[in-house]
Amino acid sequence: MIVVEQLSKTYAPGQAPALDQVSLSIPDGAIYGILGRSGAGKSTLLRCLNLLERPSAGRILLDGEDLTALSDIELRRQRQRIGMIFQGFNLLHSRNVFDNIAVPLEIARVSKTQRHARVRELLDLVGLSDKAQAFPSQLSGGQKQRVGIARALAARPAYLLSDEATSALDPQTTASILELLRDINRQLGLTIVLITHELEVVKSICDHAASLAHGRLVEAGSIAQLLANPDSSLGRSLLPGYSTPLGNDALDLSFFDNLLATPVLNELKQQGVELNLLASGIESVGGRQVGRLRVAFRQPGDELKLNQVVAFLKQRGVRVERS
Amino acid sequence: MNRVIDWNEIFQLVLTATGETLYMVLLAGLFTLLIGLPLGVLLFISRSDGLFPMPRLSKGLGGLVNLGRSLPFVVMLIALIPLTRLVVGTTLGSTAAVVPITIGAFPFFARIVENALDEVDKGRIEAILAMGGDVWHVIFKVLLPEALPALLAGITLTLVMLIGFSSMAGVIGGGGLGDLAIRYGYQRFNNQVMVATVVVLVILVQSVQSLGDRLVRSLAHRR
Repeated sequence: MIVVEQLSKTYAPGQAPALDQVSLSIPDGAIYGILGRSGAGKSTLLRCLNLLERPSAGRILLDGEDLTALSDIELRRQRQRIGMIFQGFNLLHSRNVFDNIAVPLEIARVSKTQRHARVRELLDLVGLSDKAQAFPSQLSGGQKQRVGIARALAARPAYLLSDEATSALDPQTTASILELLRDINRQLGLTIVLITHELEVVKSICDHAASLAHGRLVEAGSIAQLLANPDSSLGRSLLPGYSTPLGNDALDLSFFDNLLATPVLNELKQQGVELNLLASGIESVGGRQVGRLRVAFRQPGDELKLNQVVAFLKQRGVRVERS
Repeated sequence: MNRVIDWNEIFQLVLTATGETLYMVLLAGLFTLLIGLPLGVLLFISRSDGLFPMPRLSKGLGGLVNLGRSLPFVVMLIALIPLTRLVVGTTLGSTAAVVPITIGAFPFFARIVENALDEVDKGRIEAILAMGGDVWHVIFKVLLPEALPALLAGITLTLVMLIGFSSMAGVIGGGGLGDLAIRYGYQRFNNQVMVATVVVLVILVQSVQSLGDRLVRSLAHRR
């Protein structure tokens, strides 16, 4: 588990802090997405997690050990447990794919025969066994990131940090890289912390999310929590939306996978409440099915009745938004 | 005054002088590499925003290197005569000339190394640090291998400069093609020797340059 406590980072005195007392905890096995616009401080936060960036204040606890208090040697040992992948891949151009993946093993002083076996295994995992002898300049962006992932996993880390790893890739390649990350998370039980400015990335693979703005943590939690909380703007943005604004007597309803089989609308009808279906859709967010309905209330202007309906729906666990 | 020299004698003179020039260039080149390469690495990593910041050392070394590069070589050649005597025991001959040539060249080469390392993508350095690498890993796995084409281009440049320096060693009786040109071409108006010297120098510089270019290209091709 990674626990971040009151982390602050100021680059120059007098300047607005890049990180302002950020606290969050990242549970083991999670795929934790940190969202934010450029300049929100997400990159600084991620780089603090392996101390590529030294925080000005606060602590980073990795399995209970405070990274900021470690000696250089101890810190380097801990870094071997934290893989990292980058937007720009950062592969060594003087080495071929095989030797790039071997770098962390060389640093960890793994014997040559063991290195060889491990690299073969990793090439297989990322689907690049036929590219072992290729140089990075001969690879596509997606292939380079696969090499980056294999390299990051070489020393069998417990954590993987992803610094906008898919931002330089086209949508299809992005999808395949995200799928690979999810497979790795499931197969190896690796905890993944990723930063991105793309909501889609969080939607498709994350089970936890946090959002940052101006160096401050806006909200954080599991996707389930965020979706269930009607006040969560992150939760709302993760839901499929409609481009037309919500009308006066209309409601947006979200059903989660545990509710999909519940005949809530039917029950309303039996109570004499009629709703017009305006739009509907289903989407998966963080591996959960979410059904979305936009309905119009058939008795316009009846505020009291509408309030009752909303209360009923909320009580049944449906997420309700109204104008 | 124009004594007739047969071509065989000219050939012998030029051959000996070429050998002396090559001896000076290669020996001084070796020392330049041995001193300049680590110095360049040190200059790069000791920068205040570098891998291993040592701002005072960085400033000191930078000042020394600039001092070494600010003196015209002919002046340095003469100014260093006492040092040469101390190191080699004599101030005459090709071996003695290696001392001022090396001292004239290594600061230049160190700067070339520093600049070549500066061109290496910082993200690659960061990647090695992120996987738990130390400063030695960064130097030997990233900086030097990634900068190799630029370093080879710099070595080529330095060798060409060394050929120029070695020719000036004739001023203090260092031997070599420059010495030959001064003694025969300048002092005795022997045009044949002069022309031969020029031709050999041009061939030397061209071969070093094209060999270096080819090496750089073959490396860049793979990457």
